[in-house]
Amino acid sequence: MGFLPDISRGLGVNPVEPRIMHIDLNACFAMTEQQANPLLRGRPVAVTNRLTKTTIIISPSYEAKRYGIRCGTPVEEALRLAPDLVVLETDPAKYTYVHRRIVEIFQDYTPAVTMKSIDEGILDFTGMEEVLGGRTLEQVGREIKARVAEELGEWMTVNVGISTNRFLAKLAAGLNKPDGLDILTEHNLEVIYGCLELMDLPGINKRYAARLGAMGITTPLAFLQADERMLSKQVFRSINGRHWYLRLRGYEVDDYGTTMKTVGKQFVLHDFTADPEKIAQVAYEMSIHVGRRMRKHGMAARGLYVGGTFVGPRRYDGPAESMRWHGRYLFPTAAWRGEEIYRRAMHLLAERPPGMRLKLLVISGYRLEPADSGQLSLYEGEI
Amino acid sequence: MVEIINEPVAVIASFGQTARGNAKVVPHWMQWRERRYRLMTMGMHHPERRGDKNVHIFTFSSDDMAFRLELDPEYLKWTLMEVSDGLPS
Repeated sequence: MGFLPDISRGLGVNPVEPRIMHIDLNACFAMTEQQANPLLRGRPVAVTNRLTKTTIIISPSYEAKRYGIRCGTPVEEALRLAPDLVVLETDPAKYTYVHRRIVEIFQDYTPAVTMKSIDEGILDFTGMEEVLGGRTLEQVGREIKARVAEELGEWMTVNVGISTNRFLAKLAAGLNKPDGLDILTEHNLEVIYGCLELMDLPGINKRYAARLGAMGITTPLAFLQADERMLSKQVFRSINGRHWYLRLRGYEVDDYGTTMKTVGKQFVLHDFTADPEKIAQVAYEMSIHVGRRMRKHGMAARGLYVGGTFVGPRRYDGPAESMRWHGRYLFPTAAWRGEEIYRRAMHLLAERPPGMRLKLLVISGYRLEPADSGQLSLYEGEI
Repeated sequence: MVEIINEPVAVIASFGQTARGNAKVVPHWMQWRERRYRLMTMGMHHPERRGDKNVHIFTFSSDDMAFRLELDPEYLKWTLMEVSDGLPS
């Protein structure tokens, strides 16, 4: 976190020149599929992890969103909303390529690039006046948009937001989707806040909105005008109140690094099963995958979490009974090999609800530590 | 609807460089099952890992069909992996 101003006498909107640019791709996976297959352009398209009715949509195109399809809509419901919806399975190689190319483009403009996800990045131009060579950030933003279209394809569009901190840059990027470019400064901030709802602010969910509402803060403008002490002592009852006070005014409080806390995988079964052999097979494949990811990051996990959704026998008079179950254990030694993770996962899975069919399985390692040697532990195999 | 094909095909392509100096390959015509298709609209070109090597994936569309072509750079072999009409399955 950078320099924070003295707020004891109240604080106005950050007056410095905007130097933070937020860029995200529109409906990344669906748009990439429409770029790859020109026949899909202009049609409702949705990407899912697997082509089954029980999975959910993870990326709907803008055309699909017009039918009310959102991230998390079950495939079955999405097809009911839009019978001509084209549902595609994820193609990770394609999305990884798009991610790599946009990172390369971003890094041509500033070395301070932070990718927040596969399709969302922050470009920090603080102290880059010489590199910019007199160009404004708006010009740079337009150039990046043109390069994305030129190098990745004409269907690929990005939203660009420019402001004095990450929060406002992200807010700006979301103002005119798709293909927007907006700048938030001290001169237009209140006007923009005046046009938005509380939940339009990134990071304000239903619970936060309810908390703010309970104190009479029902609009972004009222949020901006709220006293720092009231936010800290009564609304958020933590340092979060102070952070929101600064964030809303364009001061940076979100430039901290993050560390990996868990490595895991989630899998929805095509055919729900109670067969122990099939469950073991799924757990083995997932454990190998989790182990591979841990080794890739040079990590090992002492803790293992295994969870799942189980459904009861099929019924003809209504939906089958469904329940969630999980188990976790902190082992004396850290594991990074797939076989060991599998053995530990099976130990936990032995406690799963008997006789119920597995629908969704999660295997996740926590309490990560550096995997500093390939030496096998004498205690491996012991619980 | 997407149909998996996985058949070798003959392709006429041009090889060159982009303005930034990267290699550029553009397929123009494809012969598949004794019929020629003009590959009109380029979708995307991206590498994909196959074991210890990268293959190049090209997606193209003709009048009413989209194709997913794979180029094995080691053997310069083209394979038509999928065809699609862009309609729901």
